[in-house]
Amino acid sequence: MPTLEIDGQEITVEDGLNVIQAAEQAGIEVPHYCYHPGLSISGNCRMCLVEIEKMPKLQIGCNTRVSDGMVVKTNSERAKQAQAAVLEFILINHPIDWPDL
Amino acid sequence: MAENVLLRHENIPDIHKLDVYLAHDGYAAARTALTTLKPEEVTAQVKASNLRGRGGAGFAAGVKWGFLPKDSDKPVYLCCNADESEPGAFKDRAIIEWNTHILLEGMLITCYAINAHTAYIYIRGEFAYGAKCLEEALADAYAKGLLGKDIFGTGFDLEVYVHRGAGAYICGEETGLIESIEGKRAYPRIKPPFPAVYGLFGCPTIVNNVETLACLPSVIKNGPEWFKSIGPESGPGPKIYGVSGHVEKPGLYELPMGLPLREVIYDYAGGIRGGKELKAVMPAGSSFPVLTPDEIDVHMDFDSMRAIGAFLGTAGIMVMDEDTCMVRALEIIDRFYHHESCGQCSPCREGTGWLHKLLVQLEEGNAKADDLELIDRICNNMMGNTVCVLADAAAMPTQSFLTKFRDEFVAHITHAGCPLKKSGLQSDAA
Repeated sequence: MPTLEIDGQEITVEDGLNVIQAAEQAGIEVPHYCYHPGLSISGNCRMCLVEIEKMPKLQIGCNTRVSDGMVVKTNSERAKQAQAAVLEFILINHPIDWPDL
Repeated sequence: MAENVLLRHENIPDIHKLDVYLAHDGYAAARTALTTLKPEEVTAQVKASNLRGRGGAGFAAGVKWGFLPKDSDKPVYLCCNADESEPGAFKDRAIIEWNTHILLEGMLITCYAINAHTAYIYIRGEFAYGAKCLEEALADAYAKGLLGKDIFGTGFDLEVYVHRGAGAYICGEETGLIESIEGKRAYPRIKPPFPAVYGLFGCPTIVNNVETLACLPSVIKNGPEWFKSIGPESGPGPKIYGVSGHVEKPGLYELPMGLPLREVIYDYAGGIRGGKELKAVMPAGSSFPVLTPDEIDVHMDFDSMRAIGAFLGTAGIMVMDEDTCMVRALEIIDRFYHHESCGQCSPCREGTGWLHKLLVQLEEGNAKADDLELIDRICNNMMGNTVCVLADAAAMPTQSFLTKFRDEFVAHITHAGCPLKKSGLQSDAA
């Protein structure tokens, strides 16, 4: 049962969760497209990039298993900027042909 | 060095033939390793030699082998990376075609050290002749008992297979290469786990470059101290420099590691062709930053290059003279990365294409005033945010071209196109 910090909130979650799942339990949504809990990790939309203390590069939340003492920032300026950049990359050649919801 | 190690065919004709190779101490180092040394002792010697991987990253070969799990009951595989797909690199091809057996001997030594009984040589599809050379050399080695069952009567078995690629740049990335051997599309894997733990067919795997493996017989034969005496101690050994572009004598030069780049270009490659001025050098293939003429006193070894923000890479040195349009050169480079992006990660798939499009607009005179800032921003958003380093390989040269030759990029905006082309210096032909 690792205890970690996500966006300043301390939370204890069951073993084996990834950052997206743990954040969800803390009521925080990490944006993601290619991740689905029922599928294997693809890790290539790069939408769920988050900042994790002691790691120089941003990490993808879907493929990062939470551990005790981990400090995750899903809404730091660096993480937000990277998520915005990925969305821009995804939309730049997108036909924007999705149905109205 | 009196005699070449890697390009030994320059001293001894027909060294690619097994009987000639055997007559010149061929497979003696492998015999020494297999019959007198324990696998750990071979690894220790390689570690002591400070041999660093020649595929571009410069990771210590012995340390990489040390990452293999000690308690695994799965088979261990060796993959020789002979994909040599980096633009500007043509060193591995020379070893494969002209000094074939040194590679096989290096593989035999490695397999013994890491306890692998199956090895693959992943060779790029374009090297049809190289694949033929390897198949012939393998057949000869098997016939002489140098591969196969019970090598040198030690009970050590090794099977080597040649696997031909089909032309994708990304297959040179080690996990892309592994996927490709498995018969899948070469999408690089998320790391960790690294191949040493979870590699080919889910088993512990070592991927080494051709030139790295070809260095091993000399390490065993002459000892780690000899190897370390060639060039800087932190990354020593014989090195093949491949010089191409606007020089008088383009070609491969086997020299010690750590020579000044200026010496390689002017003393060995004969200087700039036609007595022209040097404008730029890409010292490490196309994936790394470009250097300006005032930076070429740098020593060509891993650490010296890093100290000035450059890389040794594959030491595929591409030289450009004063008539080169740097925008056009970069447009060609980024066209390559756009074409070769595997397409799985959004930043790389979209970013490489976007960069190329902007550079075409610059060259054609349709660029907007803030496009240079946009190019820089795209590069920042690509770097470090993808599964493999192809995005970085496109972004690094792009940013360095932009920073170091900014005036030329600005001139393409103010002149609405290439000033060199308008003055008749640059033709449309690449």
